[in-house]
Amino acid sequence: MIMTYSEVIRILSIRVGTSQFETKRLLNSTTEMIKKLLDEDFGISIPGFGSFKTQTRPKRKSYNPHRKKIMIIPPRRIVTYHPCLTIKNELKEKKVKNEE
Amino acid sequence: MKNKLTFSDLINKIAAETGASKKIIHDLLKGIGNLTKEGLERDGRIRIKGLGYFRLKWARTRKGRNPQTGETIEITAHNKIYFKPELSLRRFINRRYQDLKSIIVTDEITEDITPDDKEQVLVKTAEPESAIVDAEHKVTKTERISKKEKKPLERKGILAKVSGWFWVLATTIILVCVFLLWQPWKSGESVVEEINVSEPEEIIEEESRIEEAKSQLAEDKYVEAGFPGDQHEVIQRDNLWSLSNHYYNKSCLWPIIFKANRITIKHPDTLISGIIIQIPPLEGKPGSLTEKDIREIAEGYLQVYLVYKQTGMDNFQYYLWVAEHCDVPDLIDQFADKIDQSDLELIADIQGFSEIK
Repeated sequence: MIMTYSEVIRILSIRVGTSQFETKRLLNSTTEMIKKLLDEDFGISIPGFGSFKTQTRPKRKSYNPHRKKIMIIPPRRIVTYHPCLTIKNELKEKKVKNEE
Repeated sequence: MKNKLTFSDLINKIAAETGASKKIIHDLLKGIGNLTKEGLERDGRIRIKGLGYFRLKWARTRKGRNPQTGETIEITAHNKIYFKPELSLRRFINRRYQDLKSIIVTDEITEDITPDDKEQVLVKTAEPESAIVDAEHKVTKTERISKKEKKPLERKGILAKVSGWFWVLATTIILVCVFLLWQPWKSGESVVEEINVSEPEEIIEEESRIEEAKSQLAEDKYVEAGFPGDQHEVIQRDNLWSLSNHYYNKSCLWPIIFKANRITIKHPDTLISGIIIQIPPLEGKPGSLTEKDIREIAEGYLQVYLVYKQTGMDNFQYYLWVAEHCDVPDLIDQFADKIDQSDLELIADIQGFSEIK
């Protein structure tokens, strides 16, 4: 079973030591702040978690196999995540049961 | 990525916004990291609302190479962590590109012929008669053309490949025959006839090439229709009005471009060819502008008004009238020291555009 949002809030509230309502608010504004910073081209790194940053993919020409035509694809921005080494190494060997 | 943010900066920013203590925010961020790890360990996937989905993927054992020494090594099976940002995050970050759609390029060949090739074709068409004289030269040229044609042919399939090679072979064989027959009878009448026969084919081919090249050039101009946010190199006959129509599909937004390139463009009526100007992206769509866009436009019109007033153009009050009618609060007050009161009084009485003209 994948961890639900309410479960995440419950566990976090116990660890941080705040009420569930307060934790919800804090988590919400934290992700909003990360969103805003990523939009302004900041690289964010959180120890014990990893780093996030945005990259811009420029516009390009590409072959569309369905329409059999060359198309110009507009530019877009993506968010990349690099896990930090501790997480990476701990999960390296583990085989998860319900992996697809 | 321009800037990097340290962990403490991040904590300070969030703490300042929420009003919570720094320790709580520190614990919260660390908690998110630990929770992600535990969730991945337990289920193999987890969703952090607001950021996205994290997922483990099992990578099997495979062979790889050491990029420095080149020796093969076995990469053991391991887990990879995948991250997919949420839809809301993706939409928020891409909101300036949201109304851009992919454009179809109609002809396949336009992709593969680079500008250099086009020039070569054009140079060749410029002097077709002199080229007939030396047949050897031509063989090499046809070979060169055949190389160009290879790329698009690969996509079309074997049939197209065979027919392409057939034409190349046929032309080379004809040319070689003409060249061989020419030498034994130096003043033979039959040879002259043969050359005359071969001439029209060449010319027709070359004419078709000219048409192709022209159509390619025309299409390329269409293809170059860029997106706002690009750079534009000014060519002859460009003006701000047409550039605005080209990029935003609306001519009256040209003061935005002028405002964004205030340093490079001294006067809006004169563009120097060769300079590179920025086309600023809009926050909304050209049909439905946001408040920020309207403010930018109004400021652009004010800049135009100031420049025109300095250079003594006619009807410069019109641009002030437009800027005032954008209904941007504080704008007139902000530039109050630069705007003449007499001009403001003049435009206050005017009801429409026609009275100024």
